Amino acid sequence: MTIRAAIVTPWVEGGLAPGMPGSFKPMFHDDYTFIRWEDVTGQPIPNIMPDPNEYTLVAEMEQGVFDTLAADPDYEVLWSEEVEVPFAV
Amino acid sequence: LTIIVLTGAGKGTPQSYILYDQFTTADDAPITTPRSCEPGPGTLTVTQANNCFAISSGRLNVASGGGGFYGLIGAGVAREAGRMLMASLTKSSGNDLFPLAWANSNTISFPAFVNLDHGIYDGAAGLYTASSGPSYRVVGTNTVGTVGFAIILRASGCFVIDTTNQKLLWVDSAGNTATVYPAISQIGVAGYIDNFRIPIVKWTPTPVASDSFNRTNSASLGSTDGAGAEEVGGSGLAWTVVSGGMSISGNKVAQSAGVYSYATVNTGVASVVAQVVVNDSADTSAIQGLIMREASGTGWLCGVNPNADLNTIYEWAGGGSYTLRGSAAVTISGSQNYTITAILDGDVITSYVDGAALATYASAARNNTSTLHGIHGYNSTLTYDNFVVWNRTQTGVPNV
Repeated sequence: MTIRAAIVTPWVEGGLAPGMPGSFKPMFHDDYTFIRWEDVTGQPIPNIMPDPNEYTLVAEMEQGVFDTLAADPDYEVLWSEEVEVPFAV
Repeated sequence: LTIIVLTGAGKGTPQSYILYDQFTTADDAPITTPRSCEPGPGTLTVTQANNCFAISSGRLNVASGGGGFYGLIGAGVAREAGRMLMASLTKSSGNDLFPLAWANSNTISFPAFVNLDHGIYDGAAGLYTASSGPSYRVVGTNTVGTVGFAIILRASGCFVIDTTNQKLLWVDSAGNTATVYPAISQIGVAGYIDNFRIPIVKWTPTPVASDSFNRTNSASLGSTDGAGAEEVGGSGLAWTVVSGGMSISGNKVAQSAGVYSYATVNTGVASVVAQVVVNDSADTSAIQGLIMREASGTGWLCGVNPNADLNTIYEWAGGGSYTLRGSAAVTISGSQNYTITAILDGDVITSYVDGAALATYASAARNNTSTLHGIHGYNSTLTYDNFVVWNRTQTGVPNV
């Protein structure tokens, strides 16, 4: 089962590659296996990193990954739902 | 001198359609099958249960059939580039509906998108297009109100256009069944479909930029040749290698060793559907594909990260500032062709790899009026082929 969830995650440096200043990505990107994620906050780059360092993305992942994430104190899940498989008849 | 006058159904008017159903005369559920289209021409075979179809108020009234595939399907049509299947959809509830499909057999059942050459589907996660394979992807949000659609055949593949909002939703190269069948299918939705038709007139969008790179090896990229897609157009635009080194080699674009490179053309349009085929034998690069809306060394990078098996959207703020705005998992192997598709519509950017692995970002305000689009990457083992850009806005669909 695939879960879609809104997740609060910190930014970390190194958007394209480690050690590149001024490049950012969500910590979630490195910590968890995902199907996809999307930055839904849209903070302008000059405002990154914000204080507190947190923003929201919407991600899709397998149920087991989500269960681990939901129990991780470094993350906050705002909402979650099952992703319907289209025309699974 | 012989003058041949073609007329329709004895009415003395030019015949304009291969199939046309306005669903004019009321018909209670279950509707008559086979159904003679009104005003015609054409006949539709109806598969139905649970009173899922009725004709009232001059349109096909679709009610939830529940538990199976039901629909209407017409006679086979020879595949020709530019052949258009059109209809309007008004969805009132539910999420499972193929208001428009080219089936690849005389079959009205599309479980998991099989039996399709091309279709659109209003589903729980949004508006999908589906293609032979089968494969499918979200290309927009669910329909609201009455929306017209056209699925326009290519020799291989199709264009999907929202004719109400005049937007090119998807460009596909998959699916080339010689005989395809016009169909409406539903499984659990309520709504209305009207003006189901195949006009005689044929039409396809013309690229605003297109390059096959099929030319003599050269240290310069030269100009677009207008031959990167089936449809001729988009020639004569000069490539600018803005950074690094790129050359024509073996009818493709090759990169200089070990230096990040990118090149752009001025397409004249900011909101576009763009595609390029990339192939990298090394399978180690962090980024390669399309650079969109470039301006003074900033822009948007859409494409694959073979090293991490990802499709990514980076916001490039200049220099070494690359911020990841969206990503999707996709398996990338060395020496394989991958078609990168980027769709830019206002501040919304979506990126696909081979029509899947959707990555998206909806706050892409940077350079949102820039019309410079092109190709970018790092590895010297990387090649690019068949770069094509279409205008996202398509106003030329014939009003038929």
